[in-house]
Amino acid sequence: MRKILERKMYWITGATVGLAGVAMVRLMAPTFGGTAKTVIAASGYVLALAGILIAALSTRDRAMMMQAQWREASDASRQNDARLGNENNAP
Amino acid sequence: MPQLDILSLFQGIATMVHGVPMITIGRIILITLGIAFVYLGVKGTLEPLIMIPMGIGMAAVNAGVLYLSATTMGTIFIDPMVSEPAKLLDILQIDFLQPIYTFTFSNGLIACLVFMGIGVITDVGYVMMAPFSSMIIAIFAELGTIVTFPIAVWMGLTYKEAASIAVVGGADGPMVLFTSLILAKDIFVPITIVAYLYLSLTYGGYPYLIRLMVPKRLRGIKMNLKNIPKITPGEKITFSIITCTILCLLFPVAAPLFMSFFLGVVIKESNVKPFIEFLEKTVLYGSTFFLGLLLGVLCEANTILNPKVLILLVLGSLSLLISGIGGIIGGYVMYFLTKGKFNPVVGIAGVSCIPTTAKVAQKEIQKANMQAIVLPYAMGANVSGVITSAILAGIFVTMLR
Repeated sequence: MRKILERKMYWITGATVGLAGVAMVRLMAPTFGGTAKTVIAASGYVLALAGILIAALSTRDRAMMMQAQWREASDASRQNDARLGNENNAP
Repeated sequence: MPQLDILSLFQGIATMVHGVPMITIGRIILITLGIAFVYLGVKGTLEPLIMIPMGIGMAAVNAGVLYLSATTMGTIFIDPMVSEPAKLLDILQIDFLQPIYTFTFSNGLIACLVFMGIGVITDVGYVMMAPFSSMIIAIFAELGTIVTFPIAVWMGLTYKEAASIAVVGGADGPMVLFTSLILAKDIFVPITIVAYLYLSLTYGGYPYLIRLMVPKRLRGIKMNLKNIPKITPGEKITFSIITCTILCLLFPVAAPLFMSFFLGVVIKESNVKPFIEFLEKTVLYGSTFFLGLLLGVLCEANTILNPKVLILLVLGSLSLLISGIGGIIGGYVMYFLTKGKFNPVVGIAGVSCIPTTAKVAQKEIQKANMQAIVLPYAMGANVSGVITSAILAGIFVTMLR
């Protein structure tokens, strides 16, 4: 259960943040007036956009993992090349 | 033999001669412009999918003015100004394009159909692989929309008209149509025509802007494509549903557009082949054809000759130019944030003319470095551009309606 939650964390957080933004714009802002209304509505729009961004980051872990694997593979091949070079140069 | 009256034989010429001089000159100019659009569309200088039907429609409607009664002149193509139900019912049976206008144009259906088609050819995976850079660039590429709004108000347009013309900066034809139909119905024809005309020109104009703003050394930057994760259709569908729901809750007025776009995306990802084929070919091309034709037919001198047209022409070009500059500034921001690993030319793709600006970016980059590929990142910015321009249009419509 915890693993599933961890994996779905970005989706859940993204949707929650986005909906919180919607609530700020649609529910909270109309109850205020003047500058407060504008500030709350603007913050809500930003929060909703941030929610979408967080949901889109759900593939971030996989991207990081791929980057790490690629870095490991290239390090290994570089070490291998260096080792082979040393062996060839050995008297 | 009775005397032959040429003017009675060719009513189109008679109405031209008997009309108000200003309108007559306007008709001649619009006929010439229509022919020029067809020529440039066939040649490929302007977007042929829109320009060919639009040009033909424009030339035909201005040539085909006839006497509807002893005192009134008009055409039997379309009457966009009719709103009285009884008169509308009559016109629907006379003007052959009136049913398409009334049932698809004035309620925004055609914009939604185009959006369904765009959705089905769009891959949201590009946004998900680089969401941060895509969003940053797309926000910067809305600079034209944001800056043009106060300028338009300063130039004498009302808030609603100013918002409608400012949305041209988002470079999204259906969005401009949708916004102007809701906010400025009186001038939606010139605004939409200006938008589509300039969108066709961006393909020719933006490469010069890129060369002006980005030196060749930076244009040739190769981007890392090795750590791009493979995004599954399930993830894309989940993202689309979450985004669509949030945007619809936020901007109920623009909900039909969001629904149409994300419906297309979900159909593409769920791989329902008959629907994909239907939306991609029949719906997208069919609605684009009628959009072009109707825009052309709406360019009748009496409808389009509005003193505000010149202002709209200036503001439309300004809006797209500033958005292009903003996009490239966004590209530079990403270039500095990634310490030189991001190609700033990708910024132009934030201007959401899918997929034209992404193609322009890739083409310009390859001219500087044949091995540089940025298309996935450019498409990400492109799709984000659609989302941000829809958000801005939603904000304008919600606040000013």
